[in-house]
Amino acid sequence: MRDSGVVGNDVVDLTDPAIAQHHNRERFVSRVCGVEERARVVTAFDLWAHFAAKEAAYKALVKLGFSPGFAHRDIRVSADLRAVRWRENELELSVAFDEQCVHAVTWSARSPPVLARVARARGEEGAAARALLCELLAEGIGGSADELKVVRDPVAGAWDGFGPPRVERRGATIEADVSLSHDGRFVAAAAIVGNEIGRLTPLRLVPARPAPTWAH
Amino acid sequence: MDQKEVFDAIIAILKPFVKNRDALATVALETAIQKDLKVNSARLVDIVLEIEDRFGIEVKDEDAEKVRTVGDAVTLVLREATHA
Repeated sequence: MRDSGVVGNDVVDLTDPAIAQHHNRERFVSRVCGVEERARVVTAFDLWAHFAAKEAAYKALVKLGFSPGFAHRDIRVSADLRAVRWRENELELSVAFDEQCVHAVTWSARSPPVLARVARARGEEGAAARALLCELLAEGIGGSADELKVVRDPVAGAWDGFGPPRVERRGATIEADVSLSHDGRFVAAAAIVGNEIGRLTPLRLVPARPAPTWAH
Repeated sequence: MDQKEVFDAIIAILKPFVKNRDALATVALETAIQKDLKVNSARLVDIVLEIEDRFGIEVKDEDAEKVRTVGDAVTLVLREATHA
């Protein structure tokens, strides 16, 4: 487990017509949400905010050494969208959104400030998300994004054969925990930077409501 | 239902959710659903629900977690359909 905290993030493209009515699909909502959460799911935003929060939490929990599995219902989102709980473990949560996308970021308590950003994808989504993360980190720690490289190490048993991303600068790993996400037209990145690099001016996440300043 | 029938049915279910359309041309049992076909996590829930409907089985969360490849899905369906 990292001493300086872990972060997970997830973005959902709300403009995808394929997911526009999922909040009205009882079986989908029941598969993803617990009983208390289902009562809150009225709009597409409600559903996908919960979904993104759970996906972001999943990423952070895996980094903490847990195995939440394919059990969205077991990851519970607080009614104010500011915390996520899985068993006895609680993560902090921020959900930012506009009419086009919702972005959830979770992080372990007592972490250094969290940096997070969403952008429209330019080119291949994976590469765009990595580029966004490098821009975000370069602003946070100083230096050029061109010096940064996102690396994923092979991990047996991982869903795609690779572990969580990490970032190198000129070949040396930066003491930061990072998370990438992309969906449809959007890419997102989040990072917690170790204190030895920090004394950051944090890019504050926008509270759950009203609409965020990162809207494009 | 034999393996080929289940395989074909699984591919038919996956098809609308696949982002990497080129990978469909060479899809096989060892094709990874998320890594190779680029199916995202939200659509995985849709796929699980459609598999349940199509084959009349229940896919438990712990079983869904273990499905990485098309072959894993086929094996799961064949096993659960036997018990249904």
